[in-house]
Order: sequence, then structure tokens, then C-alpha cells
Amino acid sequence: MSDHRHSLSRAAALFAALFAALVALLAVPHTMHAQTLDELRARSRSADSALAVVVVRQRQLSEFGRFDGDGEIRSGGRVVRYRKAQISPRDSARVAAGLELGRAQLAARFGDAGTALIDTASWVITGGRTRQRWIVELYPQRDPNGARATLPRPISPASVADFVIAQAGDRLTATTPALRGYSGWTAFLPDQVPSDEIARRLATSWAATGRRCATRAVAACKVVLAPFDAAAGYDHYFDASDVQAVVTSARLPGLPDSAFSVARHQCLKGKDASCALIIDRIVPTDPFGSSVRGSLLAHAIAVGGENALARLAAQADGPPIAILATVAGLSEDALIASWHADLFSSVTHGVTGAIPAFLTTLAWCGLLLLVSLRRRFL
Amino acid sequence: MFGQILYTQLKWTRSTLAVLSIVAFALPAGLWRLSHDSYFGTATAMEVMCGFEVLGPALVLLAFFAGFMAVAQPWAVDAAARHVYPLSLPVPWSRYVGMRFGAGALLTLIPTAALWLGCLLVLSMIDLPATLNAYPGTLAFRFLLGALLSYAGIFAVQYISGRKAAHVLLVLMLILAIVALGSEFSGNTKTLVRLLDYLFHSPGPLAVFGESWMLIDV
Amino acid sequence: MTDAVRIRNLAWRAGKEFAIRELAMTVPTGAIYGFLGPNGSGKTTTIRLMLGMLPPEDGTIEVLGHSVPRFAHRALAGIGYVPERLHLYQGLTVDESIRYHRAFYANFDGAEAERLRKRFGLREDQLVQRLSKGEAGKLMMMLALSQRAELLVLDEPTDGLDPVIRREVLGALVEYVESRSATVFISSHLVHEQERICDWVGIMDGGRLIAELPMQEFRSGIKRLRIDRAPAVRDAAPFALLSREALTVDQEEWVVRGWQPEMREWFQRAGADVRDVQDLDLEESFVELLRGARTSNQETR
Repeated sequence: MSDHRHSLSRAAALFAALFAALVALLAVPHTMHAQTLDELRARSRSADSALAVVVVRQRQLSEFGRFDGDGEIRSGGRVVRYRKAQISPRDSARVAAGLELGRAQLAARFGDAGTALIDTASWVITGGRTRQRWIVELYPQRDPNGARATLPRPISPASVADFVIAQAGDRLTATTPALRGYSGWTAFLPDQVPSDEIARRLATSWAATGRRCATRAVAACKVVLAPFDAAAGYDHYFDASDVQAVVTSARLPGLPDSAFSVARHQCLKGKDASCALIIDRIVPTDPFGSSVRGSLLAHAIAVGGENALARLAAQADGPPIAILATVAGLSEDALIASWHADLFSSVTHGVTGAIPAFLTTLAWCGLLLLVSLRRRFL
Repeated sequence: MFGQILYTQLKWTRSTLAVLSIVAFALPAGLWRLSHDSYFGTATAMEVMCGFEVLGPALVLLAFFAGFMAVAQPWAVDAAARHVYPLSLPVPWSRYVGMRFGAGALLTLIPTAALWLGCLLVLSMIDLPATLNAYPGTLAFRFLLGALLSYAGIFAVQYISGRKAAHVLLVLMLILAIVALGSEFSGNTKTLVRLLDYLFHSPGPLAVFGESWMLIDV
Repeated sequence: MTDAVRIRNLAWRAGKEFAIRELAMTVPTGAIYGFLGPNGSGKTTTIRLMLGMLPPEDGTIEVLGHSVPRFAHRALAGIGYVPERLHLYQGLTVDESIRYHRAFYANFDGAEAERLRKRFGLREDQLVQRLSKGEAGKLMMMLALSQRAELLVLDEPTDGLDPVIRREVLGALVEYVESRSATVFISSHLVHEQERICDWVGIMDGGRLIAELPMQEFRSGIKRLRIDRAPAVRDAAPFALLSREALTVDQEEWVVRGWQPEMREWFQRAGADVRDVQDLDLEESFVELLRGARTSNQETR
């Protein structure tokens, strides 16, 4: 009986893993139209990755909850279990060092409130070989949906520390109801927020709200940064002209030509349901994504400094932007203005930073010319 | 004197410059054309922007190649006669080399201008939303800087005597290989990352290649 | 300034095989200096050192009063140079080559260049790379002569040219020298050609200058003697013995340099008798000089 259940759970795990990979792949064409190429590349990579790790993942899922590793790394109140046959002593030492490093960094920034976020879970490290590469993953043992990280090979303490800190951010959003829907992965890693990508996504958004936010309209940014409201309808985010643009410029949004023509015709005549259908097909359900909101979270915590988590604990209920303003110690408008400036300044500086590059290049050209002027003989 | 050097250099490199200029001009326009036929019925600013994310590395390569060709061909002409002619001319070697350098540097303006015109053409065909800005001048200027830098680098390698240049290059490549191998085996990629950071960020020598090569951006 | 070129104690080395050693040379202003030597003797290297194209290891070079290689560019302003191989840019036309060349020389005479171009039968639009060897030689000579140079340095200028073109080129050269009284330094292994135009001769062999003398002295001072009962000791001789060869048991043939008729007495005092004194032509003299130098080199080793 037990064997029967075991094989059933294995089959279910394998099916789940394959399904996850399939969804990851299908997500690429489905959302392709509204993404920047960086995002497409990232998605493509994630799809590749999903395929590559599928074998390892199904093994992990099958072992989930009954992982009986023969090795243990202890750090603070946390235990990381692993199999000695899969992870070399050298790598396990690096993981131990990385765990300590990540914990120390959280402690230094937020004290016990920081370390408390990661000291509760037991984690597992598993290793497995796919056709191309050796994969080592680190993830919380009791949470199959919890964030996990594929550690870069060779494993370095710094990458483990980053994972620990990212994991802490993830747990922060998971345990604070008001912040669900906010990406927590970069909450304590503001340097890893893809600012340029987010700024470009807003500036080129199909939705007028996003574009208005890009032009520093605070009210629009509040809509963008609030958790996605599926019930609000597309006109909460899209202007009539956006709909017009989407409907008239799109050619084959995944519908048969004739069906699409009918829907387009009806939409242009003012039938909301048809417009909603087309919008739904062309633009992702959540037009801005959790990473945009995650960037506000990371910014608020960075501005809030060492008391940020304490302020969050004191006011964990209420509208998310208000909570984050409290965390940052600013008013809502000031927080959004500061977030906006931070997001866009890095991008525009990167694009227009011609003068330093000009001087640097001139200096190097001068140096190289100077070297070339040396007297030459036959 | 400089006029004649410029004339000869133009004569030797004119075919390559013409090809480079056509490519530089056509890249943005071709991209627009491709976008036009893509998923959407008409090219949008966003699509052109996305296209430039792909085009950026191509422009970096083109700039590098423009710099390379601007120096390689004239040098090859002199080298074919073992530099006897320039050495027999009544000008100090440094002045002669300076003039050759100046002439080549000036010629890199031609593909740069072509790129700039190509960018302007693309921009005239799209409606730019208020949230985005066009940077044709910045992009062309960056292209010029990239071409100049590669030009200066290759010029230096060519005009320092061959063996010494080879030694310098060998040492630099060895350093890079040692750092890369060291990072691979030690698991500490910081040195390699730091080295690349230094190379591709100001004031590193390749900073201009590491910057944003976008025609349209926020 | 009395010497156009003045080289002292010059040393240069290329690997282990070849070296120029202790070279001293003087080219008087206004002279047509024939620089003779077999292939590989160091003539071209010496010219390149003289023009600052190679760095000397030791010694001093002064050309037109300028120290070389330091101020080579100043000296080069007064030098018309024709190398042994075409050095001009192959992708240019004749006209473009003239325009390029004249940009570097303040005294370049455009009208003279045009006159010479027509005289040599060169078309303006001819590509340099399509020129025959003779045409290329003419183009280089035309450019050098149009510079109105004080010193012409010609490295094998007629080597490989047919007699008609050779005559044309040398004719233009002689005209130039007559009209401008310039100094000419002409390197060649064609001894007869040098004989006709040069008034000074320098002979290189194995990286050394083995003789430097006025053409007249070179032409008349080297004799072949047939001697009966030739003396064994030759150190005290008033002439330079280049070679000696036994013909019979008591007869030898000597080749000597610096021969004067009154030197017969020296032989008589040594109990010898000069049977016959023969003049050598320039080529024989050149060969004997080389042979003498090589023998003496071997003996000193």
C-alpha cells in the first residue's frame, strides 16, 4: 500500500513538474507582445531553465517533506540538510559561510527583526545532474512553492548570502497580508531591482496609467503601485485611446482572424466585452507586474533604514502604499516622488552620460596615440 | 600635407567606408522596416526601442569594425613597402603618424554621419510618445567614440613595432585568462567581475562600449 | 660645408650573420659618388642608416650638415631618394603620386615633374601598381629629380632596366647634375655604369668599406704586374699588394694598387725584375680589390 502511494506521489510530482515547465514555455508566446526584449530574453531563459531543471525538480518534489539528508549545516536557528553524496564538503562549507554572511548582513541592517525572517525554516540543498549541467538548489524544506535559488557553479558564499537575503524579502511579503502581490525577492536587495527595465516598461506601457506614472503623475503611480485589482476592469488602467491603439494596431492576437475581426469591429463600436477580450489577449492580466511594486517596496525599505522593519511591524494593516510610506518615514507622495526619481535617474543617466564617456575615451585615445608616436625604424 | 594624407587614406578605405556607411545607415531603417512587418501592424516607438536593445551590440561591433578598417588598410599599404616611403619623407615620424591618425579619425565621421541620418529617418517615421525621448545625436556620438577608441587601440598595436605589440597583447590576454581561470577554480568570481567592471565602466578603457546604445529611451 | 655625407665609426648589426663595422665614409659636396659592392655587402643597409631609416649602434652620421637619425627629417628635406624597389603607394595614379610627393617638399618643381613625366612617357592616370619595372624606376627618378634636391641617393636605380630606359634615366640624371651641381650618391654593382659617370668610388664588402678613392685613381692605380724572382717580403712595398699568384717556379703575377712607374726600382733593389705592367679595366680592378680585401681579412683572422 505504502509502495503504491509512493509511486502515485512520484507520478503526481513528475506530472506537476512537466506541467510547470510547459506553463513556463507557454507563457512566453502568450505575453510576448507587451514585453521588452530583455524581458523576452529573461522569459526565454527561465523557460530553458525550467526545462533543464525539470528532472531535478521532480526528484526534489518527490522527496519533499521526507528529505532525509545525511549532512547538516546549522546557522542561527536554521538547519540546512543535504546529502553528502550530492554536495561536496567544500561546497557545503561555502554554503555554511554564505548562510552566516547573509544572516550577518540582515542582522547588521535590521537586527533581530531581520534574522527572524530566515531563522524559522529548515532548508534543503539538493544536487542533480541534467544532461548539460550540474544543478544545486537551495530551498525551504516545508514549502514546495517557496522561492528557491539555483546556485551558480562554483558555489560562492556571496551568492548564498544573496539568496538568504532575497529569501528574507520573500518571507516578508508572504507574512505581511497587505504586501501580498508585491515581489519581495529584491526587498532587501535594492541594487538588484531592474530599475531600467521597470522604467522602460512604464514609459512604453500600453496602459495610459503606466505612461502617466512615467511622467511623474503621482496619482497614476498610486494606481500602478497598488496591488492589481482584477475586478476593477480594464478601464481602470487603460484609456479609450489605449484600447483604440491596441485594437487597431494588433494583427493576430491569438484569435482566429475572423473572430478577431468581429471582436475588433464590436470593440470599435463601443462594446466593452469585446474590448476586454482583445485587451486580455494582447496585454497581460496584470499590466505592470509585481516587480514594479517590488521596486517600491525595496525603495521604501532602503529609505526607511534600520527601523524600517520595526515600523512595518507596528503598522502591518492598511493600504499597501500607506504602509510603505510609513516604513520609509515619508508621506505617500514623497515616497512615490523619491521612488520615481530613483528609478528614472539611473536610466536617463545611462543613456545621456556622454560627457564622462567622451572624456574617458578621449583620454584613452590620447594615451594610445602617444604610445604610437614612438620613432619607428625599418 | 594633411590634405594629401587624408586623400590617400580616403582612397584606400573608400570601399570599406561606403559599405560601413550603408550598413550604419540601413541598420536603424532596416530595423524599422522589420518592425513594420512584425507582430503589430505598424512600428511603434516601443518596438524601435526594443529593436535597439538588440541592435546595440551590432552597433558596437560596427563601430569597432569601422575603427579597425580605418587604420588597418592604410597601415597595410605602408607595411607592404616596409614603411620605406614614409620614413624617407622629410617629416618627423611622430608628425607623420599624427597626421595618419588624424586622417583616419576624421574618416570615422562618415559612417557616424550615416548612422545619424539613418536614425533621423527612423525617427521621422514614428510617433514618439511623451514618455520617451530620442537620442540620435547621443547614439551617433557614442558610435563615433566607439569607432575612435577601437581605431586608437588598433592604431597603437599597428604602429608600435609588431613584436612589442604582440608581447603587450599576449600579456594582457594572459592576465585575463589567469583571472578567468582563477575565478572558475576558486569559485570567487569577484576578481573577474571587477576586472570586467573596470574595463567596461568609466574610467575604464572600454567604458564607451559598456554604455547604453539606445536610439529611443525614457 | 665641404662634405655632403660624413660617416665615422659606424656600427650596426642584424642578428649574428651580418654587421656593418667601423664604417667611415666621406662624400664630398658636388661629387658623383659610386657606391660599389657585391650583393649583400651592406650597400642598402648603409644607405638606410644614412637616411635615418635604421638606428646605428655606434658612430656618427652627418648628412647635409644634419645629424642622423636624430634630425633625419631635416636632412631628408634636401635628399632625393630612389630605393632599389618601388616604395611609392601602389593604389595611386602617377598624377596622384606626384601630388602626394610634392606636398612634402617645399622646393618641389611641378613644371619639371611635368616635363620629366612627358619625357619618360608616363601617363597621368596610370596606376602605380600597373607600371612596368622600367616605368616605376622612371617615376621614382622623376620624383627625386623634381624635388630640386641637394643630394640624390640612388640605390641600384637602373638595376633590371633595359638599356634604353637605363640610358634615359642616366641621361636625366646627368642633366640634373650639370644644371644644379648636386651631389649624387649612387649605389650599384654595375661597375661599367659607374665608370662613366662617377668621380668618386667607395667599395663595400662584408659590411666594411674596403676602399674609397677618386675614380681617376681607381681607374689608373690598379695594375697587374708579371715579376721574375718576386721578393718574399712585401711589407715595405710603396704600393698595396692586392693579390699574388705563382705562374712558374720563378715568376709571379701581382695585382697592386697605387702603382707608379718609378716603383720598378723597388723591385730592382730586391733583386726582382718587372717584366710586364698591365692596365686593368674597372670591373677587373673591382674584382681584384675585393679579392685582396678578402684575402687580407682571412690572414688577419
